[in-house]
Amino acid sequence: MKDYHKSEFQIALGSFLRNRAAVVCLWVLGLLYAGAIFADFLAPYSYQNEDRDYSYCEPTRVHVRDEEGRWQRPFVYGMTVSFDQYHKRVYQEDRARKYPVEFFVQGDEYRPLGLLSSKLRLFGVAPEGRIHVLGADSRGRDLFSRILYGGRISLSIGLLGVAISFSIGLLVGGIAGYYGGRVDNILMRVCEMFMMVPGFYLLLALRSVVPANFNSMQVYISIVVILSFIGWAGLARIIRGMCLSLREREFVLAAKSMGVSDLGIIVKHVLPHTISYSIIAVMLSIPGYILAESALSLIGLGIQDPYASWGNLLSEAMGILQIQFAPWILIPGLFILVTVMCFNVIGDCLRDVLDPKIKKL
Amino acid sequence: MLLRIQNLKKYFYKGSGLFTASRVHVKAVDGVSLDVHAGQHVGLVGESGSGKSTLARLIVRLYEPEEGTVIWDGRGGFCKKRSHDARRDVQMVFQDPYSSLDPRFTVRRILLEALSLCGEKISPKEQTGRMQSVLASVGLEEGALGRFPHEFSGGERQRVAIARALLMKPRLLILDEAVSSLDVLVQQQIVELLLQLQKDYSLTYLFITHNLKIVRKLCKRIAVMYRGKIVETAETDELFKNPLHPYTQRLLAAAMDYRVHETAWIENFTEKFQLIDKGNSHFVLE
Repeated sequence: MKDYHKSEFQIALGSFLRNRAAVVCLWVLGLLYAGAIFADFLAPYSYQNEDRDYSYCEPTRVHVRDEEGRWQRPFVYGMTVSFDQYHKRVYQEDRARKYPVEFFVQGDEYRPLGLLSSKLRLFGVAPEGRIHVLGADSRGRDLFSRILYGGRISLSIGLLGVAISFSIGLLVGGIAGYYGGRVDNILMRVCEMFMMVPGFYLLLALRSVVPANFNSMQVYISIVVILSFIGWAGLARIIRGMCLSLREREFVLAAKSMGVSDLGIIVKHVLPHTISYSIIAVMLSIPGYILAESALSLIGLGIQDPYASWGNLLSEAMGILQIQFAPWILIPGLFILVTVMCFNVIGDCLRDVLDPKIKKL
Repeated sequence: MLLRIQNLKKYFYKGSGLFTASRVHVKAVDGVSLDVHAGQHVGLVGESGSGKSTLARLIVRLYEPEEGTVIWDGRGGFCKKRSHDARRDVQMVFQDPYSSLDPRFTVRRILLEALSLCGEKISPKEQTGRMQSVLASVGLEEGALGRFPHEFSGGERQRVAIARALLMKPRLLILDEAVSSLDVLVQQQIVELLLQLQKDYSLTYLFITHNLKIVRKLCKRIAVMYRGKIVETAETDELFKNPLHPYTQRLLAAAMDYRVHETAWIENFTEKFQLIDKGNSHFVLE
């Protein structure tokens, strides 16, 4: 009875929130995005802070009891490095050097929004010691910090790419479907030209067009543009199909007979009815963008060092030796996995909620 | 003369691909001429697929005609631009009240859209006032503004659709099977509403239906449409007394529940018009 006054969307939201897996995934994604947004504050080091004495240093152990077994506030030991007979670095805790973990410390400088200047970081140790929660990479940079900073690129690239490609896809699909006939024919052939080329090769080909002297921001934008350039065609085709049937619905005809402009009808009456499909498609295609960026960065064509993205971080894990002796450099892959899974679970749940006609196979 | 239709034609094509030549599939409206005078309601009757709805859509320019003209108020056919007065002067109410209102819009938004097309600048307060008064005149309560179409019954939805059309202050209201999907009692209510509104808003109706009883009650003249052509036009009483065309005779007979010699009639008719059955309900004159 209470559902009576609710719009379709409100009803859908209600049943979405009753799906526990989806809500958990939503929280996980929320944490990941929060981590990326507040990376400056949460990460103990900046993404380029390096200390070569800590190359491939294992995750730092945080102690709460000293060698005599007395309880103390959390602290870490300093590390000393030595080489074994195979020239592998062996780290050992130096019990003489103790650095308590402090909260709200002054660390590397950062400029939130490019305006203020701040050094405040959530936790850290005195500058003589180092804390690597998830270990360090080859140049002794903190992996945890770099994952947080990398999340900024990896997580935003999906949203931005989807936003651009779906705007194009919705508009092209809407126009093709609404007008039909020759317009439809031409637009769909253009779509097919994009869909004809295998995505990854198109990605590489387009990437090779981007000048090599671009700075990291320009590279980032060009990757977003390239990714969205590839993704719009598939959506446009499906939206077009939906619009073809929607334009014959009487409320569309009614609007048309009243004299609403064509664009007004497409935007106000036709496209909103594809929204339930679009939301699902968005959720299910974001992982594709994240993976594509990771793949591009993994083979060195994406975000360049020293800037971090999850794919870029994983590119260090391409050698068997690194994986064997420093398995923690695979952790960025775990973040990709979790993110992709969360988007998929949410997308699946949204499909169940918004489009009851499509049943899970 | 409110509306004059001259030799209007609309064909639908089949196979309009990039490389294939399109060919005529259905001649939905095939040379129709019709006059509608102010205050003189016209009923357009005919079976499904006879081109009634296509004709209505041609009048409001949902379709572009192949040939022929629609002369509005002696001023020539109206153009597509929404600012054009004539566009507002002719409004249409559709058959299916379940789909003629956008299910995502509240009644307020549905009516606001119509108001915004009136071309007048009015304050939000006046907008609400106008919407409420038009709702009252179609017999809906004020609270209807905040509700969605799915919260209404079929008859109420049709009232909303009529209210939407009325907001545009039309002079001709085309009712395309507007009561066909409602039950008999609600049909009657809507017809009474239409009669009442006609007095209040000085409307003229072009009433499209296959329900002869309602036409008889509402319309002064009746045009009978059959396979894309108007086969007979007459004053209502005259038509009921003395139908001339065999199709009209059959239609009346069916409505009045007379027995007719079906086979004899069909044979006679087919011979006369050389009709070729192309399946479904569409026939092609060749």
